Order: sequence, then C-alpha cells, then structure tokens
Amino acid sequence: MARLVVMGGGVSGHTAATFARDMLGEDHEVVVVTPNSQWNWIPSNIWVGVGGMTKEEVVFPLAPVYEKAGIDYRQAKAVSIHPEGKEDAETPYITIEYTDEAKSGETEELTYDYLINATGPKLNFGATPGLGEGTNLGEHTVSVCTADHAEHANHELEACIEKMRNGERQAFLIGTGHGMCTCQGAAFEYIFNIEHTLKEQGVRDMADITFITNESFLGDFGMGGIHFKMGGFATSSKVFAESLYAERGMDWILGAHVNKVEAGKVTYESLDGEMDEQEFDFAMLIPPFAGVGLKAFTKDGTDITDTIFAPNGFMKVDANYNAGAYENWKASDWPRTLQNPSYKNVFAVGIAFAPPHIISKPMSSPNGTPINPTPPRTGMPSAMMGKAVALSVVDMMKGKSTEPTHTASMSEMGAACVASAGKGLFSGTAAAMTVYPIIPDFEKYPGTGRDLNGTTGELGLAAHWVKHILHHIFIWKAKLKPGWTLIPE
Amino acid sequence: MIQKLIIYPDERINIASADIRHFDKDLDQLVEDLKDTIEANNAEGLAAIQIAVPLAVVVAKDPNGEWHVFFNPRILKRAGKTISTETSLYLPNITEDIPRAEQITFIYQDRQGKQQSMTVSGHFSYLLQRKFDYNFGGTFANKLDRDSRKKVEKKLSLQGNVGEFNADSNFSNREYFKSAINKLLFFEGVSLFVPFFDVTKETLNSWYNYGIFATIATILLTIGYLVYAKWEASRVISCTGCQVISFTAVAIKYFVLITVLFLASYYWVNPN
Repeated sequence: MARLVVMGGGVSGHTAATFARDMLGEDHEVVVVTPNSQWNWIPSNIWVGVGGMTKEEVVFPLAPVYEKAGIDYRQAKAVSIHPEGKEDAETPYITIEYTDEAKSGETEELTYDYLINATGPKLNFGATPGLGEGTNLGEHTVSVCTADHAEHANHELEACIEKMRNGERQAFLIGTGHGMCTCQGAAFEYIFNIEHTLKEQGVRDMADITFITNESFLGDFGMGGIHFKMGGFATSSKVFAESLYAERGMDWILGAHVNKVEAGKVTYESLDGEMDEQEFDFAMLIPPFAGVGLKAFTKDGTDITDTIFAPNGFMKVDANYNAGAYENWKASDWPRTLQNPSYKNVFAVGIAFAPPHIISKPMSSPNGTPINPTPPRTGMPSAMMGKAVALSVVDMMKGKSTEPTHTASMSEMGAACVASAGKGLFSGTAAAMTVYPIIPDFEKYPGTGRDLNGTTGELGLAAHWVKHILHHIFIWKAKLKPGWTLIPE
Repeated sequence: MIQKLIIYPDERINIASADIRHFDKDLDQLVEDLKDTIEANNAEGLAAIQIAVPLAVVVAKDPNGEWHVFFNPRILKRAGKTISTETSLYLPNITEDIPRAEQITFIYQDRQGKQQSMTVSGHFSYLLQRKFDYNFGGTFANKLDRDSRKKVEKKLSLQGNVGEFNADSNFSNREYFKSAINKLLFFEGVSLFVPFFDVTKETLNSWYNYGIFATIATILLTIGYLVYAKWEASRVISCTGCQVISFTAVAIKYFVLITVLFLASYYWVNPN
C-alpha cells in the first residue's frame, strides 16, 4: 500500500484528491491535509459580498465528504516537507500542525509516497502597508477572497447603502491592492455587482465608483487581454471593458501600485512614476498572493527551501525558470507535468506552483517598481492541473509508469471567465469569455499568440445562467454527488 | 514605401495588435512605411494595423508637424470629457462626433524599447486616442451607439463600401443554428397574434401547423446546436468546462422558449 498526501483542499487539491481516491481503489491511501474545515466555491463569494447569497450557500463541511469517499482528512496546516525522510528512516514525510478545535496546535509527522502541493496562496495583505497584517485583512478595506471576508464586505456595503439613503454621498474603490496582484477578474466582477446592487437599492446616483488596477489596460486580466466575440462583434477585452465601465458611469485608474492604505484613502504609484491618492468610503482591494511559507529540509536537516521553492514561496516544477527577458518568453517555458525537478514524487498544482514568468507584458514605473498583473491560475486551469496530476500519480502508484503520464500545460489550455452582474434569474447579465491558449504561443500563433478560433463568448442572460449553473454544478461535483466524475473541470 | 490602407469593410481592422517584443531593424522600415503612407494620404497619424500590420505601433504628427513614434502605447490617465468631431481613413468620407477625454497621459516604448510617458491634450490627444484604439481592435465606430453605427453603415454603403460593423472574422458556425432557431421562433411568436384578427379556421389551422413544424424543427436544431458546439469545443484541447456549460445554458434557454411558445400556440392558436 502506498500513500498519497495532498496538501490543500481548495479547487486543485480537492480535485486531485477525489480523482485519485476514485481511481486508486482500496489498495492505496489518500490523505488530505488542509487547515480549513469547509470547502468554498470561491467564484460565488462575489455574490456573498453584495448580499446575493449567504455564506452558507457557498461553503460545505469537508469531513463528511471525505469520510464518504474514504479519504483520510486532517484538518491541519502543512509546515515543512522532508523529501528524503530523516536519518533513521528514509520515508519522506511532512510535518503538520492541527487547526481543528480538538487537536489545535498539535503537530505530527505524516509520511508519504507521493505528495501533491495544492496549498494555494497566502493572502499577502501585509505586502501593502495598511492593507492588513500578514495574512489578516486590515481595518480600512474589505475583501472577497474568502467567504468570511465576503460576508464582512456585505455588512460594510449595507452600512454604505444606509448612509446613501440618508443623503450621504459615498465613494467606492474596487480593485487591486498592490502592483503585483492577480485575480483582476474577481475585482472586475465585484465592481459590476456593486454597481448593480446600488442601482437595485435605488442609491446609484449617490455613489462614485472607481476601479483601481495594476493592469496597463482595462481587460488585461493578467493574460495580456482577451480577444473574443460579443453580440456578433469581434472585439478585444479592452474595448469591451471600457464600454461597460463608460455605460455604467464608472471611472478607472490604470497601472497603479497601491503602496499605502489609510482610513478613507489609498496612495498609489502610477506606471508613469507619479504618486497620487484616491479617497474612498468603501474599498475592496485584492491582496497580492505569495506561497504559504512551507519549508523544506534534507535528511540531515539542511534547509533546502530555496531549492524546492521559488523566492515568492511557490513550488518549482518542470518549468523553464531561466527564460530571460520578455522577448525570449515561449509557451514551452510553462510546466507540463507539474513535477518537482528535484524530487520526482512531489508535484505542485493550482496557485502553489511557481510560474516561470508573468503572462502580460512586464512593466515597471520609472522608479523601478514592477507594476503588472501576475498570472492567474485559479478556477478551471487549477482543476485541470489537479486532475492531470492525480491521473499521473495514480499511474505511478499502480506501477504503470515511473514518469508522469498526463500533462496540463497552461499553454495548451483554454480558460473561461464568467463575469456576471446581479444574481436574479431574469435580471442579471454576464459575459462568458474564453481564451485559448492561456499562455500566448507566439510561435504557433504569430502576433497575439492566441488562436482566435478558440475564443468564443456569450453575453447576456444565457451567460448569466452559466454562472448560476457553475455554482450549483461545481458544488455538486465537489460534494461527490452521483455523476460527479462526468462533470467537466 | 506607401502602403495600401485597410478600408471599411475590411475586417482585419478588428485584429488586436500584438505588442512589439523585439526592437529590431525591421521596425525602421515599418515606421518609414507609416510615415510615407501618412504623407501620401495627407493624414496626421496611422496605427500599423491600418496598413495591415498587426503590431502595436502608432506614428503621428503633432500640431507643430513634428513626428512621434509610439510602440506599445497604453493610456493611463484621462482628464476632462469632450466631444471631438472626427474622420478616419478606415471610414472614408465619414465625420462623426465622438466622446473623448480632453487630456490623456500615456506610457509607451521608444525606438530603443525604453518606457516613456507623455501627457497631451486637445486635438493631438483625440488623434492619439483614436489611433491607440486601433491597436486593440477598435475603430471609432465602437464609440457610437447602435443607431449611429447603422447610419454610418448606410452612408458607407451609398459610397459603394457595403458591409456591416458586426461582420466577424471570428464567427462560429454554431451561430447559424441560433440564427435559424431565432427566425423559426420569431414567426411562431407572430402566430400568437393571428387569433386577434378575424381569420378563418383554416388559416388558424395553418398557423398552428406551422407552430408544430417550428417546434419540431427548433428542437432538432437545438440538439444539432448542442452536438455541433460540443464537437467545436472538443477541437480546442483542454477547454471544456465553461464552454460546455455555456452552450448548454443557451440550449436550455431555447428549450424553455420552445416549450412556452408551443403551449401558447396549442392553447391559443389551435382552432381544434
């Protein structure tokens, strides 16, 4: 019997663990280590953040699901990896620290034969003074990164709505809280939901809504933009996004590195080197992501964190980390098997793997501050990676192969972004945009690096339903209800 | 060398231009071609896509007649709102009032690839806003509402430039299924108004029979749409989930509409 340990129970970790469990049969063991007791369908946090859904609708407890599936679930956080074991025992292991009430603070060594790192991001609020301390959200802004954050955001929003009803004008600032943020799509979706909610509440005329982003153009989304179809029009995400903002009377600030947050005010540096300020009454600023801070040690206790992890804390995999300058970047720099080059029984998926470089054009201000979106690797690509790695690991555990048998390169993968406004079945609207491949392949598709025939989109009510269907179908899948394996990533 | 301009309804204008990655010697020829073409057309500026080169390069003359070359430009800041009366070489003999920012601050790369920034206002600002839009696949028609776009299309067609702005080089064949379903359902919808008029039972029967035909045909077309869309999505490696859900949502919408229209036709138009 061999043991697979999956660190992290988010989209990629949960996908990897459940598929591995499904295919491994009774002969092998699957263990999931995650500090959370609940699974969260993160895209729907946007709706929680405007009161369209309750927190309970977007989370469910993991324990019963894993118990039913036969997965050994440890509510704990991974602390360190020991891929060579220790001096008296060569079996590799990780150390974990329990986070559940009963065993809180207890540590344990957990041996593994195969390890999948799906620890996701550390929400690095501490990177921007005033945005928060470490991983904790500060007092001046809100966030929709977790269900709890989203619930808090909604309370703050309700307070603002109340003030507007009493005749007090409110300034809303939505966007990214640092020059190196990703997840612009979430901020993009949230601002439209805020605007929609204010309109529904009859207070839109009392609100000034501004988007602040580290993108150099609206609609970059950390992918260098998307070219897609809308209402029969071939259009770029920039043209599309600008028209959406203009139609709704919302302003935008581009190429901004928020470097300080104070009560009611952010200070930011622009790509042109200028410093500026923006006042707010309500601000939802996405924090930058970092690795969760795992350490790694050899058998004799030597710290090899720098060997296994990139400086940003994400795990190195089979990517080309020496690609050099922007003009030399290739799609083939991106990892295919997600296998760690030093330890072949260790993989990293989702946000946990270290990307070789960003996707958008790299930019910095004249002061040398890098201001560009970092690569998005959440949602569908995350799940695809989780499944591909699970399939590889299953083949390796069953002795069918000594090398990974499945690949999931973001340069051969499309991505979809469903941005909705409103939640009503008949009142909302949304744009479902797809892009292929996520990583521009300048050799295969000269010019933009994208296959325009692989980009499609639906706008309007049908796309809005997509978001609803996604919510229910993925929670169904994550709960491992009948037919879950048939539901695509 | 003077290059041929892309003129409406050439759809290549919708191509989003790629950023310049290599600042090599080839760019000099492109810049010279753009300058020659500007002079030959007595224009003030051109984006490279206007001479069918899909690269993010804009060459323009400022009000003093000085040449400027901008690589990979991005507008960072806009100040003041105004209406600018504009013409475009892409849309011959068309003059439209376009909403613009009075002043813009933008970043760009110079010939050596070094990042620079500039703030301009007035006429030169409007010119650059128009040219920079071309880099992202947008003409000034994108700034017009639907009715104004239709009027411009009509004017252009009278000049012999027949086309439409919603022409789409990225058109999926699955849109044909939707188009056919929409037309069939539209006439079934029309049939619901027939009982309001004093028509014979035979006429009503004919409309009702059409309703039955449209129901069967649209169900088959919707199934065809689903099958085709699934096949189309499968051609794109790894791009499944949202695509499948997206066109499934469209199909569900049609099934609901078909059912509602048929029930309405059965209880309202059916003379039997």
